Amino acid sequence: MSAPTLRFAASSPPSMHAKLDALLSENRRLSEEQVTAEERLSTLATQFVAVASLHQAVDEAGVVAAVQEVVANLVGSEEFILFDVHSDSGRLTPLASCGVDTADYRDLRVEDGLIGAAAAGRSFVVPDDSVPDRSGLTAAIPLRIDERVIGVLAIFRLLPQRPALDDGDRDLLELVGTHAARALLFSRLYAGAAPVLERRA
Amino acid sequence: MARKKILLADDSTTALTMGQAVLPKGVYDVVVARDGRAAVQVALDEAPDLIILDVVMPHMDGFEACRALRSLESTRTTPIIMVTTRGEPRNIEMGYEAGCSDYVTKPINGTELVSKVRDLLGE
Repeated sequence: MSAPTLRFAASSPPSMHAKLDALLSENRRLSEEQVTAEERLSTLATQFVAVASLHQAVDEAGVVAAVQEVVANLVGSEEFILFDVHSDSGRLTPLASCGVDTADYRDLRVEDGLIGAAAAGRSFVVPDDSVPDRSGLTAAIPLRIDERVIGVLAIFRLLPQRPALDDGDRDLLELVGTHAARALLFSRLYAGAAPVLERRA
Repeated sequence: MARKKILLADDSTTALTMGQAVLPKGVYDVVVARDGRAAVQVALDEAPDLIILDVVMPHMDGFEACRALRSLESTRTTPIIMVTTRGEPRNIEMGYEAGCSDYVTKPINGTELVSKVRDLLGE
């Protein structure tokens, strides 16, 4: 709703004009603060929703579905591969994918290219001014529990309306990397513990 | 002043949670539907002031649901915001042809969504 316009006659005392200028200036400042606060709220809401979605699932399929929803709804891509990282063999295997043929990604090793680098703990997000390579890889994020990388989330082409990922997306992806790792670990521990818990119930 | 009611229709839990997180609770009452058919029914039952409709939904997609809502007397003029995954012009055109009032594209930007909601509700 637009604010009512205040006008004073040209003959109004100078002090009234000064007050009006001060009020208009204050109004502008508050409007700018409101915009900043709303943008911050939107960013926090996005992060909250991502974390909440990932931790709602108790089984692995549910976690994978949550990752897919987060990538589509909050990051803006329908192409990703979620890799398991096997620290004993140094290999990566696709755990789940969406919109990408995993044939070219079946025999990756830790430190192999950008995805392998993520498996070694180094995140990759394509810089703003760069074009993704032929594979369309836009981001490779380690799924990390403390210092241990248990997986990698590789995001390929973004939706057409998303030209690039910004700083907010980078923060979001790091958060997703941390919480998807915990959600996956929990789902696997729960799968092992569920029969015991059922017997006890 | 009575709070405005908003119907949020999406089959994605993440999208529904996002919508509920960004629409201020003290200002709007949010009701949800998880597919297009349910969206039409909830709109009839709840008489929302505004509807946010995802395009890709089971049973009845967002375009069909939008056409159905426009054919009903009680929702003929209710503002409808379509949420599209694909931002291509043809997709947006289809939304307007189906009768939507405005659209947003995924990923959902909370600031943009709330701004469009306010505009359409005349706030």
